[in-house]
Amino acid sequence: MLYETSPAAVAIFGSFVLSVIGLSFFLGRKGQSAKGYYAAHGEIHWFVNGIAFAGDYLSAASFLGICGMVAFYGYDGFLYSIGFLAGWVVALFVIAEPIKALGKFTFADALDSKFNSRGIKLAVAISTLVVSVFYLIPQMVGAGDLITPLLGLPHAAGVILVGVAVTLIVVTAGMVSTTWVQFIKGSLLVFFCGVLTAMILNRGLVENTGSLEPQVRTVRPDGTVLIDGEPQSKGHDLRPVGSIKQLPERYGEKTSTGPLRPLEYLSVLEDSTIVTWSSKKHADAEGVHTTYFPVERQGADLLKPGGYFKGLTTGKLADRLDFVSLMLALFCGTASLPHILIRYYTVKDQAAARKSTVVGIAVIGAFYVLTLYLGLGAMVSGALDPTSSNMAAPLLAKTFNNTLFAIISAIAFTTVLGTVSGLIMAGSGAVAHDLLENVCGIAMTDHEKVRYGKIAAVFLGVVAMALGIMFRNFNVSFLVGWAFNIAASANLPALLMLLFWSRTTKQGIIAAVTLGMVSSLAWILLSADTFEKVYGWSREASIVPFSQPGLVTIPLGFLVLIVVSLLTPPPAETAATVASQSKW
Amino acid sequence: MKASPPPIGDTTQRSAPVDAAARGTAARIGLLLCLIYMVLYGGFVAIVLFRPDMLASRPFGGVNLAIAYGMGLIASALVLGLVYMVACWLIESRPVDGRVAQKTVLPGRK
Repeated sequence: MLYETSPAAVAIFGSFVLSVIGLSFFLGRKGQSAKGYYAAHGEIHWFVNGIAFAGDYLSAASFLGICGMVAFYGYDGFLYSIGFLAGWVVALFVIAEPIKALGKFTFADALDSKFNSRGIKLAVAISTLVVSVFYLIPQMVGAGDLITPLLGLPHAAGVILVGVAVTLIVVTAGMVSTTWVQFIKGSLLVFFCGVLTAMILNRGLVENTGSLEPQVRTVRPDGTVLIDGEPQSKGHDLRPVGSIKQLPERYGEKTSTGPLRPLEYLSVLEDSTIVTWSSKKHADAEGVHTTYFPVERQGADLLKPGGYFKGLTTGKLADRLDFVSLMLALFCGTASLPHILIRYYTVKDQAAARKSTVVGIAVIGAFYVLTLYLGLGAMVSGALDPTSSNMAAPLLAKTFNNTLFAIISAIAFTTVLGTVSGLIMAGSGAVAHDLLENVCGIAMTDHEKVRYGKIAAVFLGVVAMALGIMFRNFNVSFLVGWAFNIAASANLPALLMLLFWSRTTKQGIIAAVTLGMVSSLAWILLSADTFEKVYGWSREASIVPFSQPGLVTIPLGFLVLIVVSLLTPPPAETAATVASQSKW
Repeated sequence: MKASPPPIGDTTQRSAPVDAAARGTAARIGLLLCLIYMVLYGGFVAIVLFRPDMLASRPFGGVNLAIAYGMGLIASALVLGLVYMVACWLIESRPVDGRVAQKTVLPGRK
């Protein structure tokens, strides 16, 4: 669909960017020591850090992606929410306090705290960079993809705008400004999702009798687009879709429920008849034709698993293992993401780390419940773009008023800033602190540590912009999944075994991180999903039995660490050191 | 066990740690709560895989089990987190040799 530029959205987003950059320059004087730059002096209040966790973690994929998935497929989008949140339990109960106690600036500091091994620092720095870059690319490409419909600017403008803004935020005050940007973004995101949800509930559910005629979108070889055989224009475009055909019988002749309570909304939706839209493609000499057609479904079917994860209904073992593997990676991956872990260094002690994680769980959990309502609200709003699930939340807002659309659009774009700044910080620490200072042995004064960190941030910012433009035409959403799987397979086994098994050796950690990273990458590259979506090959040609690697590569990481540790001599102090330090 | 463990990273920049025994107790409680959540989470995944028909049932009258269990998992993460916070607070407030644990200093630290 074609979108009109919203000057209000541009103004709101511009105000936000200018405000946070101004705030960053104001805070810049606080980030001039290494501890200030990398860890905000460890002086961030636990409540602020908790909200910043949400700002760091809730990416555009979480907001737009999950809303869109719920709007198009129903309950399965919520499965992602459940998995994403569950990972925070591991972070709270197992990781938060040890990480705070063992580390200083980066994830490598924590893993290497007992060994002082260049090998560990090198392996973990590479793992941090790989995870951060894989996470970064979809964010940057997403920024470019969003800016056209939301703000009316070209793709490259979105990428460069985010890249420049984030680089400025990071180099002015490092973790101090990054924290406050994430705090503001997290607060705005959850607050306005709450407002939008309240409006959805207040409106209730409404029968919509819009046209149910199929629609055909044709992309001709010269790139021009036809809608139902006529050139696409603002006056002749795809019709928005998604509606309730019939409310439950108890509403009789009424076409609207009026305001509903939160659980009542779900209950009524479950008893309603809903029209969702599917698509099928075919190509001929005239071009590629995509036909969008309505499918009448019962709400009860949309509010249970299987709409997106078709494998859950096939009964095939490989499909089931794929699902288990995904849920395992989500559970284990969050607590191993370097850009999340470094937030623990910004608070003063372990108690603050613990409390900030609980605040993070509360905010992120609330957000995921709200996104369920946003997605379901969009599903029946009659405003969905059948070509793009990512636009579900902003288009839902537009059904209320243009101001809300402008705010939600600006916030959607702003979500990218918070997440990317965290990723650039994590990458900057890995390059300057881990690789240059600790692996290459470049002696640095405190001032030089900050300077190298800022140079690394600028370098990563430029790389991020280049990758965002280079990967424009690739399907990069799968890279977030890669990042989770690599983090879960490479980082979590090493971290857990270091904390809870006194026989862990540095060779074991190096082997686990390296093999966890390589094996999960290799598995993904050989999987059916990658064959189909990336290479454009047949799924049947894939080599591994299911696509998500976690079920195999996470246990493999543990196994490799145990075997290598048992085969290598324990350091003289290991037993005593771990026994005393495992209590942090 | 050595009386003075070697420094972990840059100890001069680290916050005041709590009593080791208290931390050990808190860590065990954390692991237990994590295990409880894993059972809840694993149970959910198992139902999705093996008894998907159960998820359509409405045991609580209004919403179906799929929604109720999913929201319950989110809520239980927060509840268990709060339980852990309170437990840690109680443990760290316990007198240790005439002081509260929060104010104790790790062996080897001045």
